[in-house]
Amino acid sequence: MAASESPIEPARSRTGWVRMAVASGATAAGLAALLASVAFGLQAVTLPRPSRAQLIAAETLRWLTRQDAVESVAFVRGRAVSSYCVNATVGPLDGSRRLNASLLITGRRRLVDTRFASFRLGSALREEDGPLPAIRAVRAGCPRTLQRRIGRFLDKRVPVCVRRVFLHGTPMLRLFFGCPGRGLLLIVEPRTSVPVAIRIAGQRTGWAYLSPAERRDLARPALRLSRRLRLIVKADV
Amino acid sequence: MSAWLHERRGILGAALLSRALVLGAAAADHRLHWPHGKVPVHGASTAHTLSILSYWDGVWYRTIAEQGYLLIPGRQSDPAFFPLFPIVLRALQGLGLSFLTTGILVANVAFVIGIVAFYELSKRVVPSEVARTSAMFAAFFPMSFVFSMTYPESLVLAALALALLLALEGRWTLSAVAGAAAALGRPEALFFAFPLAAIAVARGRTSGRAASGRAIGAAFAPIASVAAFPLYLGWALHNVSAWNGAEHAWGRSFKLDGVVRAVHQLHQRGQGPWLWRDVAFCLIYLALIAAAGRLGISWPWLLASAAVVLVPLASGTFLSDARFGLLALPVYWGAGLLARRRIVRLPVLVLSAGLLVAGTMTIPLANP
Repeated sequence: MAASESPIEPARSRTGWVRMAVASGATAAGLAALLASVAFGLQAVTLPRPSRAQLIAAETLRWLTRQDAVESVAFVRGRAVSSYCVNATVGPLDGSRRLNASLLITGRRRLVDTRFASFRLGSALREEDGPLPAIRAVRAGCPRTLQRRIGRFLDKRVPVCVRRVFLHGTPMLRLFFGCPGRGLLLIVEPRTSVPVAIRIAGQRTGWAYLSPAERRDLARPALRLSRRLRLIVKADV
Repeated sequence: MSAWLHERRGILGAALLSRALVLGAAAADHRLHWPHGKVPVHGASTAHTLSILSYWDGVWYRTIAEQGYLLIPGRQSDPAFFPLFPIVLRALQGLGLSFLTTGILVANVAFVIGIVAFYELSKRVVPSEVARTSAMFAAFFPMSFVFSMTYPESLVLAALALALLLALEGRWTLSAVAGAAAALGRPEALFFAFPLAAIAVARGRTSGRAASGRAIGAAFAPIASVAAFPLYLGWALHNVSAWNGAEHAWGRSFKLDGVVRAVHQLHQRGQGPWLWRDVAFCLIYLALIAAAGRLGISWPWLLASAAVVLVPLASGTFLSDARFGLLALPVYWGAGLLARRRIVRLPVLVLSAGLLVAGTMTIPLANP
């Protein structure tokens, strides 16, 4: 019988083919895995890693991007003052398109803070000078304003320090952005990085305590927004 | 060695002359303080003579090299940029040069290597006269000023050309290393897994078992390397999808209707001239890829280059497509074919060089 007619030969060649395929596959996978490991290692060895505090701050920022509204309680001369801040749009101002803004309501005072300017809401919209309005919005935990502030710190890679603290007996983390004397302090929940208290260093005001809030109808009489102003300042959809 | 150099002196001369034009135009911009007004990129240096070559995304690559990655939710942040260029910048920190000088040096040296490697690759794929013209076109291509900027494009060009060249020579391990390096620089290099796989299949049949395994490994190397980036981000930032998140903040979320949105964007008011430049280059690239098809370039090469040009449109915009398409290598073969006659070649090369200078000088005006 000729070798090519042998009933054993096809099985042997098939086994040989399978062996070759397995060996080729293993070599290919090994080479690809080796290169992936080298690529990973190169990145890990050469590039600096962000600090733990920066990563916590980024998580806090992520939480803020998902919030529409925040309530805060601050103590002013021993009296609790609560504020409500909601994401809104304002405009058109000077013929430009609508701008993303934060609408801050503290008692009778209503403030609109945008990236470019802050406005007091009375019977009309009046621009406020100086940094104080934006500081108020940050301190009230306005999601958009606070997001912008923390984002700017992280963008500039301002040093962030983290420290374990206790708030009403509960273990928390305190984040400190920037230089002593003019930075931002945040107390966040250690597991979720949700901000629970905020303070601006260098200001005489103390801590303000934050909590997520439901979006409210801006047409409610309690919010005292006239129909005309509601056309200029609208809650985010 | 001297014979080797002598044979390639035309190509080397074209590469060096084109870089002299780009660097000269950048220095002229600086010297003339042109254009007047604000620096278009926050954080970009203006003191350096060649500072305009660090504009656009150069600032981001420098930040990664200096400080590493950090995903900043809700803002444009650096995990959108692949790590090869910052790794090289950081590795060369010991030279004592600034990141800007190192970046420009790396980009231009890599470009010259890339053009020579591309010429060698072309000689094995297209007729030698077309190969020569193609390499010259790649050097003087109007958008090729990007290869001199603090961008990873020139490193990727060199790595990609070497990966394909080494694969054609059957040196699979080295090809795999070069392919992996290319994909660590720009994700578009991933598409060249198609021609690498085609070469592997064709050569694998004739080579032994181990070579065949290494050939397949070389085809998978760019994919493995790209996969290492999200893994690194997962380790460093505790977020495997940081690249996606950052791309989203840059307005580059890939969706099925992206191409439709990109076309729709052209009908919107107030679009700058730079968007139209990108549209024009997208069409030129596609026409040149079609011309390369006439040379008998096989479909995996054409598919890879078409993907390099067209896939970014799925993010809903043509913006930056002129830059992305620079890595679609068969584009230059198409140009080489169309201008293979001397009477056409010289005027087209002169026009191309003029546009290259104009492109360099207008870097501060555009911000893609």
